[in-house]
Amino acid sequence: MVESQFLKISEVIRPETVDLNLKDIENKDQAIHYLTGLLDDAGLIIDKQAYIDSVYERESMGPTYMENFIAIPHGKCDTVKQAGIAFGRSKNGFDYQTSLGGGTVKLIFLLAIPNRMSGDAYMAVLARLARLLVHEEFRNGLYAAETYEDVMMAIVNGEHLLEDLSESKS
Amino acid sequence: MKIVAISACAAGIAHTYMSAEALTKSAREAGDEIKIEIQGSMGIENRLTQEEIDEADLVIFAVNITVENRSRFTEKEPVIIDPGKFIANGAKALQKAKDMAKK
Repeated sequence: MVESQFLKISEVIRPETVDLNLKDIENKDQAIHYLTGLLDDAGLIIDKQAYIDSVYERESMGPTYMENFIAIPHGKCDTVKQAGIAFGRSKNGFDYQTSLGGGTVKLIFLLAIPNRMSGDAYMAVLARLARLLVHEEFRNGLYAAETYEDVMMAIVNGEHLLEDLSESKS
Repeated sequence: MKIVAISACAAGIAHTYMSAEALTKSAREAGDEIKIEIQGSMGIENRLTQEEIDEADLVIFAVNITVENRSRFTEKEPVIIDPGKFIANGAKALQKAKDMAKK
């Protein structure tokens, strides 16, 4: 079970789309362009500029700064071949401003979302990551990660942190 | 209290799932019962039944887009709060929802 989950997650967050030591990134624009390059190099998007346009279109609609030093910019468009995540970690953080506020960001996730309505397992990985980020224990796991495998294991092992959303209970 | 909620956002991933998790966590920590319907990129998950809606003490729409199948809530007065508020501070946003419902 764990092994099959690992395989699925590792197709969405690939070794080449994770950078645990962002260097020379000082603002949101630099971060988005750099991480888009990782998604492009991994073959997850067809048209780099069209994807960046969709990210900025989303930026114009409201903040993607999520508090707790987290930002989740995202683009949803036809040019996304397969759902993917580029993850960057910055030790000292960088400035991330949007029209409706922002702050210092140390963990940034750039999501590539296919335009079609999709129930596939790749989208489920994006959803799981979003939910995990609510939990401090998981965020601490990302800060402590030294390797790509550590990031994978934090996601796989974070299952127990998640709330059961499927039924009503207190 | 019994809460039912819907979470949804424009792209249907980041705010939708983060706010669903944050709202559920905050409600359970406050001792409330909650079920949340997710209207996101993977379609509708955890669909609320009419019975669950009818029995709820509080209906929260954590959305910044239009809710689907809103006619189920005609007998209720949903409180609408931006999903970003639950991500920023779930407990505070939940309390705000309860205060808004009293008015």
